[in-house]
Amino acid sequence: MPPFIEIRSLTKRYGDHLVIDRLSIDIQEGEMVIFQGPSGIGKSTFLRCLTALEPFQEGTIKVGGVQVHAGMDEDRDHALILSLRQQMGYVFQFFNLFPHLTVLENLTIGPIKVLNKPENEASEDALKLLKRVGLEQKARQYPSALSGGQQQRVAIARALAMKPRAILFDEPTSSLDPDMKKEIIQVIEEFRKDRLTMLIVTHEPDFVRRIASRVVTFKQFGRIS
Amino acid sequence: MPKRFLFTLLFLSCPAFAQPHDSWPHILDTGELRWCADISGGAPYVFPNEKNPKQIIGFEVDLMEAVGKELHVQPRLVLGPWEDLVPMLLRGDCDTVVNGLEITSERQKVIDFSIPYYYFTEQITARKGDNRFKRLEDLRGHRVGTLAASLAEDILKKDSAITTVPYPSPVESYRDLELGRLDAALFDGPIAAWYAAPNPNLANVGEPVGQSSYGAGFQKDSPILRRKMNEALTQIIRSGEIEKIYRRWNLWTPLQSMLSSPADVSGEPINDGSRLTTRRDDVIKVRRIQKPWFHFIPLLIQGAGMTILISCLSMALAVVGGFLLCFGKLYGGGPARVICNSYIEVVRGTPLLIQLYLLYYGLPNLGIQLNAFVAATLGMGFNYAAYEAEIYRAGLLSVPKGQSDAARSIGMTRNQTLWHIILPQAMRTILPPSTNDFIALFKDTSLVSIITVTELTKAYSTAATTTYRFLELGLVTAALYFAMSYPLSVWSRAMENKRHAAFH
Repeated sequence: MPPFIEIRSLTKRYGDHLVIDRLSIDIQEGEMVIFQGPSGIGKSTFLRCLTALEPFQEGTIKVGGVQVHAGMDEDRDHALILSLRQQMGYVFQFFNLFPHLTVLENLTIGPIKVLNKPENEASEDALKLLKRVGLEQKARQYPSALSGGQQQRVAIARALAMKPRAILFDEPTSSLDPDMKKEIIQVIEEFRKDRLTMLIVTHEPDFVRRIASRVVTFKQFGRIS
Repeated sequence: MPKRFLFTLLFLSCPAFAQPHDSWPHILDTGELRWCADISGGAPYVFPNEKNPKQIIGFEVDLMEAVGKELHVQPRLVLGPWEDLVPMLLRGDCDTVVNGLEITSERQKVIDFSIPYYYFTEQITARKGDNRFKRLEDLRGHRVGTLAASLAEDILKKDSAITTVPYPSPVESYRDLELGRLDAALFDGPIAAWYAAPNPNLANVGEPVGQSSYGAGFQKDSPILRRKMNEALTQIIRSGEIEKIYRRWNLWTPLQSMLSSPADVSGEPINDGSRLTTRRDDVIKVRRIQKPWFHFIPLLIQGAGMTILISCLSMALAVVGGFLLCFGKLYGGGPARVICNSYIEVVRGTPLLIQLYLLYYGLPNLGIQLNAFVAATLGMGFNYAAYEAEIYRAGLLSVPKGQSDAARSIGMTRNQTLWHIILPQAMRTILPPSTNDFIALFKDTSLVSIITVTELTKAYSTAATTTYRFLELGLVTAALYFAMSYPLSVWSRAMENKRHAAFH
């Protein structure tokens, strides 16, 4: 079986500043890979390139049969980029919940606007997800009424509402205190049961090492070991 | 010491109360006779010399020179807008108004007049070849331009079948007549002779309308100044000096023979019209509209309606234009960005008044003619669009980048991201300054009166210059403005709080 994610010679520069130099890696479906390494080494940039939030200069990325290449335009190539993003959900360090929408609406806006799901169906799915992260009673609240850990759990549920095959975590616990970190680990473990592919970028890998299938260490210019 | 200083300051700052009404002793003290007049569109009365704009000339300048010689004082010209000359006199900014001020019984309630120094009739002007207008009645059903707050305006307004369009000076009125925005114009004879007669596209037509005279205006209860002025005028009339001046300006008409009839120098008020009508039966007796000030309130409310209409239409235009400019600047390609940016800079860097003038009086030179209402709405809308664009831009940029990252990561297009995620959040930042802008726009509509739109401020100035009730009508006008703008700011605050409570 071919790998779920195939990255070949990914190169990312900010102007003259080389961040990632010809990185290649394969990841199998169902794997849980931790990317560790010091801050500022390019782990997050790598994750952002993977889902085309960040343009890159050279190389190809193939996820679930969808192949994208360098020099794509967000507007022109939106169909291709959309099918790439539908493979992978994304969880941010600072949650980035939509503050003007309720918790439930945060989960349903993607399915309704992007997948054209009927509203009631989207709400039903969303409530099931909220139940799994233990927040169904917060559905009608606005994100500002939630704690950091609760917000991050909503953010995970929002990513999963799009039914992706993989989920990318960008420093998911760095802005949380230890108790809240535990909440997130429990949620991650919960979804591991679904054999969801997970890529976790973190500079504090200890919290998930025991459930990871592989740990990749990032060095300068995206060299990995 | 500080107390005394304060008192002096108070004393100096209130000349109207501090001085006795009769300023003759003060004139003798300073050797200066201050007279006020308006020089814009002021030919042949008082206007800048074309060859040397620093020099002010005109038949009234010559007249005041002659008066000054008789009285052994130096005349000094004080400038002001024509509609405000009487209020300036009442405030004590000058000793007398000598600027084509018609002697009317309505004005005589507020100020005193000298003996007449010029007799005239009103003159109808039409486009060359248009022979429809012989008499005042022929103007019914037509748009007729005239000078705001003048006797001619009152004559026209007496007949509700005539659409009267008041202008701040004759120049714009005659220009609009040429352009077809007016059907005719009615001005004092000397104005028509100076501005309309030499114009190849216009013709002074029909019989003389009404008859009146100009006199120098004084504050009430200034008998000495008035007597001195009358003596001086009588002397100038008797000596033939006044005929020389008027002939020099090509203003000597047979009517002026009335000047040398026994002059009224007794200091009693001069009755306008009535004395003259007995001499000439063919002239229409001119009477000022005499209504108490509160009868003008419906006029003000009508003006307020126009203010609301223009404000709402131009704000709608400004919102749409503002968003287009803002999107062009933020998300457009190179050329769109340059165009939007230049537009914003140029519009913000030039006065609204100039923009309105260009739209209304300038565009016809390119063959584009807008009517006053359209020009006013477009002018206000285009101007405020530039300010709105910058507010929207700041609002959109205030939304953290993580928001668009999150929206894109769940597969939204750039348009969906903008519409569903960025804009709703930006609205919170946009709404308060945008409402402020609307309130400002709303008050700025008073500027469109210069292109003949009768909105609230214009209605006020018309009502006030007719009745001289500046205070009462001014308070009513201010109250109307406030009644319209206050709900807006209440609404804006409520919206802000609501959004605030919702997500922060």
